[in-house]
Amino acid sequence: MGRFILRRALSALVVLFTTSVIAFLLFFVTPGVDPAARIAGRSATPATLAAVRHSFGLDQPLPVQYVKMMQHLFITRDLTSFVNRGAKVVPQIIAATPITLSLVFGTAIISMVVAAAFGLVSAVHKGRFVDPFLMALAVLGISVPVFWLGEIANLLTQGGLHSSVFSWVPPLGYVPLTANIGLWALHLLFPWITMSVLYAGVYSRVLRGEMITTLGEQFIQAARAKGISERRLVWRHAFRCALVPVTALFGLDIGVLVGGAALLTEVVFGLPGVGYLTYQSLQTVDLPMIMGTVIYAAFFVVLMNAIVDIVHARLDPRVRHA
Amino acid sequence: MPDTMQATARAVGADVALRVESLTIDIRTKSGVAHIVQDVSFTVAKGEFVGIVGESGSGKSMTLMNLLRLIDNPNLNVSGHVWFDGEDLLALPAKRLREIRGGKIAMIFQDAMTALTPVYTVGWHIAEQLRAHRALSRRAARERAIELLTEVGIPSPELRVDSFPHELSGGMRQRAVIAMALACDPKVLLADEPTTALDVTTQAQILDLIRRLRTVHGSAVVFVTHDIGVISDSADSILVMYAGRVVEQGRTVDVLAAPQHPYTQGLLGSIPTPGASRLTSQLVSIDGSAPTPSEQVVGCAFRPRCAYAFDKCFTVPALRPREGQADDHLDACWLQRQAQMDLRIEAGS
Amino acid sequence: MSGESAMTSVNASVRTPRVSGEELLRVQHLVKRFPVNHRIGSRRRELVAVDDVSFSVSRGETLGIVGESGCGKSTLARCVMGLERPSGGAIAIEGRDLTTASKKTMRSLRRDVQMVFQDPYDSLNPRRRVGDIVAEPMLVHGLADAAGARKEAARLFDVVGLNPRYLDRYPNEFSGGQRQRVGIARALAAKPKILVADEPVSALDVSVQAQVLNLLSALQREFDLTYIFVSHNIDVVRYMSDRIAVMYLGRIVEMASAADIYAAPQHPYTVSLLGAIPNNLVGNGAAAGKRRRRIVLRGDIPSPVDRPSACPFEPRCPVAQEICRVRDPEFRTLDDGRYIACHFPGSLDPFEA
Repeated sequence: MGRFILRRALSALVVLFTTSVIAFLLFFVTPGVDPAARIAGRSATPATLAAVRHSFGLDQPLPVQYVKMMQHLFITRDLTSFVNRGAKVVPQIIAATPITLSLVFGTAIISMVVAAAFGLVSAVHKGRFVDPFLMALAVLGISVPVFWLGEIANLLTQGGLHSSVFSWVPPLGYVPLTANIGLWALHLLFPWITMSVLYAGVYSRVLRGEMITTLGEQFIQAARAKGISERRLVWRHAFRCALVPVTALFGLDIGVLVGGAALLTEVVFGLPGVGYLTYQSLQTVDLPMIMGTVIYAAFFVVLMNAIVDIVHARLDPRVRHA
Repeated sequence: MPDTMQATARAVGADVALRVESLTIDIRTKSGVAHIVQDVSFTVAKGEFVGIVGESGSGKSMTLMNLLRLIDNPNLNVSGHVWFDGEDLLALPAKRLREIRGGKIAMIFQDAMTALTPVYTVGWHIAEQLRAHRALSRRAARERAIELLTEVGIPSPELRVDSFPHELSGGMRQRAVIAMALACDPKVLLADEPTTALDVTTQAQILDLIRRLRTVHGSAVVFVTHDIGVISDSADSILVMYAGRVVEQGRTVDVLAAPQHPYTQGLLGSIPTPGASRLTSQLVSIDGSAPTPSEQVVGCAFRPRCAYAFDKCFTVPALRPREGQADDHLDACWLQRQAQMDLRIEAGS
Repeated sequence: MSGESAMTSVNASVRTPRVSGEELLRVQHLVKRFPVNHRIGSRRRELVAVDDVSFSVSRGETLGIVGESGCGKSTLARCVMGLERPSGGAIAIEGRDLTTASKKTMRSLRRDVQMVFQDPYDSLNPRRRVGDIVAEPMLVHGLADAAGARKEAARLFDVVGLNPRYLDRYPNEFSGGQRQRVGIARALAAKPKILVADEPVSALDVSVQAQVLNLLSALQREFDLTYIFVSHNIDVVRYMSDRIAVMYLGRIVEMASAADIYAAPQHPYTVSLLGAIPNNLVGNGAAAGKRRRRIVLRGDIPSPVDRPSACPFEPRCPVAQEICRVRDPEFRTLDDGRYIACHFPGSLDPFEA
């Protein structure tokens, strides 16, 4: 285990370094992107521009800029935004993280439960009416754009009906879990549902496929020959085995979502999570914030990768020795 | 040598372990209904070893699987009767059937790797089998599992009980599956090509084990195989299946010494007997290949490949005894005895 | 499909083989090792698939190679075929060494040895017409132009008992036995001197196996072919072979005439292998009046990665003694001309008293 962690930590460092360098370079080679011009404003004279460059350190060679930025990001942790000079990158990301985590893990639980139910029922009743019906629903869930669904949810709950049917729905925004758990859940309810529609759709199809493959295996017949109940057969044998590849896939998706890919939902529902932060920093071409969020995203993807590997090995003994 | 003591005890009412009556299995496909198994009947006496021999597509495995209704496929239509302990397994409610599966009739498979759920240990599998039919604590089940592993000859069973299927060799895995099958002292053991995936010396170990356990536990064995040689010295009686039907059945000694159906004769003639050389003997080859279940042959299914087919063969022949043969030695062929003799002389020369 | 009926026309009368005694293939001290995935820091491990194997095959002869999984029989066949590069030793065809040959000689040596594979489903490209599959070796080796190759393919189809009208069909339109015939026709197309058959009937239905075995016997007589016949089934190997090499864990443990192997096996493993076959069929192959002893070995075949240090068979051998654990028996010739690697040949009685 110690060896595993060490190996993973080393490869994580390599990944984070590479990602940050690439993001950094991409920023400077993107045509039309000049942070100094952005900061100095439209009517800045060349002298002001030069002064801005100097004060932000943008006149130094790129490697030096990179090292300084990393220093401020990781060691002194006081890297400040170019756009909003009072805002420090690290605390902002730290503040945004619980919001994103709340959103993603809530979604993960809801979509997994729904996907398990849909996938299982579909696979067990393959070929009967319920199967194509559920799978059509799943495709519908996958096809509906998240931002559209989010806007519709907002229009319904925050619009005309807000005073009548949806009076219980709080205004957009976020309440920390520690402040009021009820309000926390209430604020996240519609974001959760919106995002779950997509993931439940995707994973009910994946799970159905895996379940059908597994139910066709010889060990299912062998288990049936032991005289166990069909319920036990489906859960302890088929579902348990189908879970292995599904978990691997799902873990990676969670990593990407926590890394900021939930930004559409966050933006639509006004949740100031990491995705929202990423969205903002991109809009304002705020290099320090972009670098912060990129490294954060890469970190979570790498972390989830490692967790997926550990979970995968726990779930499938054949992987443990390979 | 077949166990003649067992063989003499067959087919008498109270001594019957399992009786299959007109088992017929159809499957609905897009291109129509395929008859996989047609009108198969046989009796297994208590403690008897019955071999079912056939090539791929003969319906031998399907017959075995459906004795316990193991295949969950809405397109499958199984009819007939499988009598066990006065009950028809094909008509039994699911709950009652579950008590028999694994408890009274257990099964072992061709490839033990695919017969064990890969994510659980050997001990878990045996414990699950035990606890499905016996009220045992986890601890007691584990102890019993170790005893069973010892019985089937797995070295250091207290370690192996925690091994996963992939950590064992093919022979050890098959032993573990046999231990699982024997956990509840079944009256009948169904074996679906349990030695086909194994090496010759390992096969000998497993056959030896099955024979030994049969003596100890007194279970009857129904052993499905494509290789008539494998069961030639274990089986009391043999059924030869071709294209979903039984074409010949009888006591092993009778069938091997005087095969009546041209297919059985061809099957026996097509494998080199031990020590035979191409310089001194020729293999009987049967032309063509067996029909698939979707190909419908009018009359006797062997007719297109049979060197002795004649007009009568366009009607399906019934299984019946032959004059001069034992009463329980049946075959489904229209040929007269004389023609049969000629055929055999030619094949054996 | 009914294309197989033509095969009965191949004359199958029983004749003695034309073994000339002239050496065609010589394999000397052949070794094939494979590296095994290993973790950093642990001892580097190797899988020794073929371990110091030597034999020779005469023109017109069939050498049978029998053994269980992991014994190296298939790797050996692949080395002789040139599909696998030996780690050591020499393979010579008509005196020309395959392991040191130039590219040009290599090409002609490749042509001299052709292979019939175990699985007729995997070894034929499903997207090519069988006629093209059979014609390809002729085109590759420059034996014929396109038209000539097609004509020859039609003739070969006839030879192996397939209807030449089926040349333009695809492999999936044939049954297993017919596909194996296509595989044989392809092997013959290169006009080989040696045909290596690696488990050629193991994937086939029993009633179809005899068709292929009979065909191979007939072809050998007709084309004066030399066979290396590899199988796990000792009865089939015995039927097809003049001499038999018994392999265990990468070694040849016994090599003798097929008749001697059956009548008087000397190596305990050969005795066990013969004693393991469950068979109560007519004429059980033993010498007159004797019954073959049924022998059930203990334990499993060791992994080729983790071989016993001395005699590879020692851990399972019913007659092993102290020396077998200590000293590796060398591969030597007995008085009757057979080769054996055992300290105590003949000590396990193959027959019941």
